[in-house]
Amino acid sequence: MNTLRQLIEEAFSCFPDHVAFYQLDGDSATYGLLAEGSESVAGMLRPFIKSTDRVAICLPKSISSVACIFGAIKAGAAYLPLDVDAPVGRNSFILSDARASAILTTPEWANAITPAHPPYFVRSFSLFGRELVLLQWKRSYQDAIEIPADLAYILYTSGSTGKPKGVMITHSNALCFIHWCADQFEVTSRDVFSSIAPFHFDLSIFDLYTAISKGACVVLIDAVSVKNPMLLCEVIQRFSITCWYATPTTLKMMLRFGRMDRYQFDSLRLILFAGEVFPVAPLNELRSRWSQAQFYNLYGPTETNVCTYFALSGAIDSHQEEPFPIGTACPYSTCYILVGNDPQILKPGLEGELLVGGQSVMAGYLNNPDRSAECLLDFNGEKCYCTGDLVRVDKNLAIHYHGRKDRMIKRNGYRIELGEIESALHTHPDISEAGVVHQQKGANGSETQIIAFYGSQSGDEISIVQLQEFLTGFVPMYMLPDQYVHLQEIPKTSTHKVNYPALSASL
Amino acid sequence: MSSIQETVSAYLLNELNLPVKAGELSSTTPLLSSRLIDSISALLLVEFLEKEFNIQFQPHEVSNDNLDSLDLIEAFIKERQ
Repeated sequence: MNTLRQLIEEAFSCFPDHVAFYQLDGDSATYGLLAEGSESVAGMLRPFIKSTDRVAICLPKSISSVACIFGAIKAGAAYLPLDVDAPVGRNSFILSDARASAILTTPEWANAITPAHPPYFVRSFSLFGRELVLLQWKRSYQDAIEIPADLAYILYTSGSTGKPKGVMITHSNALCFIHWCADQFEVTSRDVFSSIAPFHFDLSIFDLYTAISKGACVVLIDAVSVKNPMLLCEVIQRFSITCWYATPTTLKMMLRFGRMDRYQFDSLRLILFAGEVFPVAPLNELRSRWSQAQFYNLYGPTETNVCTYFALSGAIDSHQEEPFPIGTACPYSTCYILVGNDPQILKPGLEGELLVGGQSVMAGYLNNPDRSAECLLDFNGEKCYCTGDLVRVDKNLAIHYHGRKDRMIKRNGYRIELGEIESALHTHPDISEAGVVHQQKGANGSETQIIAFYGSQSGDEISIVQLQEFLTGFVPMYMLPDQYVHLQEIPKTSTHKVNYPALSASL
Repeated sequence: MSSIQETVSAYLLNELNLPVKAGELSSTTPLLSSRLIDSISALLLVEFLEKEFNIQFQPHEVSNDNLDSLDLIEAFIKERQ
């Protein structure tokens, strides 16, 4: 099997009567119905799509959005999932940057977007009871950038220069991970998976494709419900979910606010978490409550997908404070440690930046060869991605994460380049300078807070409500600062750059 | 503003540190949809309402429909009491 298309088609033919997807409102679709729905989308796209074209999907999570993704894949395109709740300007930038050939979206969204070029064709259609719109762009505009021949999808992540960057993932990048997961976690057609992550987030690759590779069922949890931990706990019971994959933030919210005593969780057999560090105390509490389930920590940036894993086992040590390791390399990955400029093979005690090679390493950043060259290096003939994560290797060769070498942070699993928030602040008409830092708060420093310092042209403080409203035009919700601090002057280093340590020290 | 709204308003301003001044918060000010309240604060608010007014939220009731303004919160409380 070489493509996601083959994986999807095989599932459609092997499990036509199995339920493939549920929505929380009770709607469901079998693999057979999904095959029909996705084929109708593919049929619309085929006349004008060629294999390296990008088809954007900007829809709330639902069975119809899954059918659009699968339809794009069946038509031979690469799909580009957009965050339907992100600012219109941000999504319009992504559409232009990716030179999308088409977008499948809602009528409201079709009216709101402001692409660099107007679409030449617009068509309304209905899919699983939802009214959708297809917009197409002309090919002369599309062909200006270099695209790998087997591109499967593109996920945009926060960019330090102020613009998001597109991670190009090929079919072979994705499939090595999907097949390994299906084997490692012994997935069967009796499994019921959660789909918590939005489709523009890389955790969704596991939810969608590992499940369907074995004819399992997926419960689609929409963006509003994901923020309701009581509902999440109820959903596990209602759908007898067996495999729950979430960020530590979501799991901690379920522990704190989910009223777990009211629900049964006997069906859970597998808990996977990724995206950020899970502090030991809440993790152990969760393991005590869901003691029948196996817990795994999965690690990997979007650029490599999951590349290491760690199975939590054995007795719970209540005195342990250091987070569990990110583990050892998945079979399709190789890990090295960059010490200075010298990549080294793992050995106990080694510390440095984690380098990841192997089959899952991305093709590169779309339309951004300079950035690709900066973070992809050749080591012994193997393409390796420099993660920017600082790690150390223990005596069992397990890898432990202990920080970043740059200003990227993680919040609820989302990557946030603080520079992107600064760039957005700089576009405010009254802001003359800005510096954004983060701090860890709460028990064991497990809460990540973003603090924006700014100076204003007028010398006056700007209302927080106005600043929040302004920033929502440029960055997604998860990137909004928690605090704003007005300064007459931002402290500078001797080279006249923002003095971030001084800003952090002032908190 | 009713006494229920006064109580909730005091909690929002003093405990959840809503970034508005007391006079700026009206019965109809959007709370969640305007992003004045984030998702964690909304859950803390639910816990407060349950204790203070002796009511219970079902999972699907924790939503903008019942929490997006002081008017909506008051209507939900009155319906449950």
